[in-house]
Amino acid sequence: MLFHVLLLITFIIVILIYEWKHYQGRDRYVFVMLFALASIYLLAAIVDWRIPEYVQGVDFLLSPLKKPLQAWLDQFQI
Amino acid sequence: MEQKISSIQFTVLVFMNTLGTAIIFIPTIATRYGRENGWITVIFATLLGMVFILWLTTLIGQEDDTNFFKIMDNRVGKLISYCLILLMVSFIFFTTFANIWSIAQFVSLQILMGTPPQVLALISTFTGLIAVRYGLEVIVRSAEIFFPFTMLSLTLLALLVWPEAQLIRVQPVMQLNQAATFVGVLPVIALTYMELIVMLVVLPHVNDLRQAKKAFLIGGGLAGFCIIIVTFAAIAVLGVDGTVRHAYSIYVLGQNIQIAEFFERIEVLVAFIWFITIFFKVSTCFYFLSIALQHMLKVKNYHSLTVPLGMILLATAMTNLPNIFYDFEMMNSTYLILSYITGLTVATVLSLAMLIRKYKEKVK
Repeated sequence: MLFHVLLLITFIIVILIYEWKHYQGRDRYVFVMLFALASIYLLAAIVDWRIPEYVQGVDFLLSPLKKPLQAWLDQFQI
Repeated sequence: MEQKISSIQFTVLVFMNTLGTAIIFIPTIATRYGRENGWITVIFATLLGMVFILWLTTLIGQEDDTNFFKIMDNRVGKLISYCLILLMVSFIFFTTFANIWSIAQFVSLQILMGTPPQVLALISTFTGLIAVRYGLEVIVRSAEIFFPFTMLSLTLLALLVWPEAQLIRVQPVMQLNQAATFVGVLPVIALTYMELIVMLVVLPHVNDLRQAKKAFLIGGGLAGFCIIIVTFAAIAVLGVDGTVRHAYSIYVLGQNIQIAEFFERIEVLVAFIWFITIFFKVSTCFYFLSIALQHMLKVKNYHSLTVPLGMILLATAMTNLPNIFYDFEMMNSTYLILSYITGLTVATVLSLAMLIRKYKEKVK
């Protein structure tokens, strides 16, 4: 795991150096914000931190529709 | 720089996008519902899918703008447009990481056994990232190059399994399970034609819009025809039980190819079809997400969003879908609902806005 984290840190540094000069103004600001967010998210995935999952969120939002639909569809499936 | 593509290139891109995940999962899903009529389920799904495509083509008028999201802003106002874009982004985001993870899982389980799917997901995301950074024109030109190869692989697969086919396995035709045959159309459309809303962002880039609408229909129809043939072949060769039991039934279909004890185990043909089509699907969805975020975050250059977006897609793919059984459950529940909500809401709201505008112009 330590090796993966080190690889991620190296990747972050290289990408930041490479991309930084390509963008100016708002583009650079948005890039840095999103990149920081994405780096934390990827780190969380690597070190197995429990963070809210996207699919679970969508699942929760659609749960009122999901159960009746699944029950209905199950009648027709093998 | 404004990017322009031809109607033929658009046809090819629609074909690749429709075939993407569908070619490997649809035979199993359709047969689960329709059993020996699974191929008829796909025929109905294709017909209804064509109607949906026809509806999608009416959503883009004669606007000068090539940015679909700006067209939406002009048509429905910023607030409603923002909500619709958010809905589309959530759906396409789901499609993209699910596709990345499904190809990674497939390769890890069937071809490069023992290779962690995370590494394969990283490679898939990276290739998609490179494609998106090169731009839409490069994506469609590569699609054009790979189209003959995909068609050749599909034709070879359909022809070479023919000696193993037994027509008794697809009989009786529409005598049993009629209701299930029709109900099966729902998940099939969700996995194929509903996902084509992603093409709305490419449609305004086509040189001739009238030709583009035809191209949309031809691409969708051709892909539907290929899925019908593959589903029919899967049932005729593997039987209903064989098709349902295997998660990747078309791959098993490829394993059945034996010609004169010389050509054997050329199932990698199937893998090629899937690699190529899913690459274009991931690239197009990635492009859609980049352009949508560019519009929402008011950024000048969408390239600045691609790397973070790729990292988020990779992390989500690695953590959100634990195994293939969960994927199938998703396809029949959450994903199905999300895909219909997104596809139908976007199409209905844009159509209503168009009708109201026409009515107002008439009244004036």
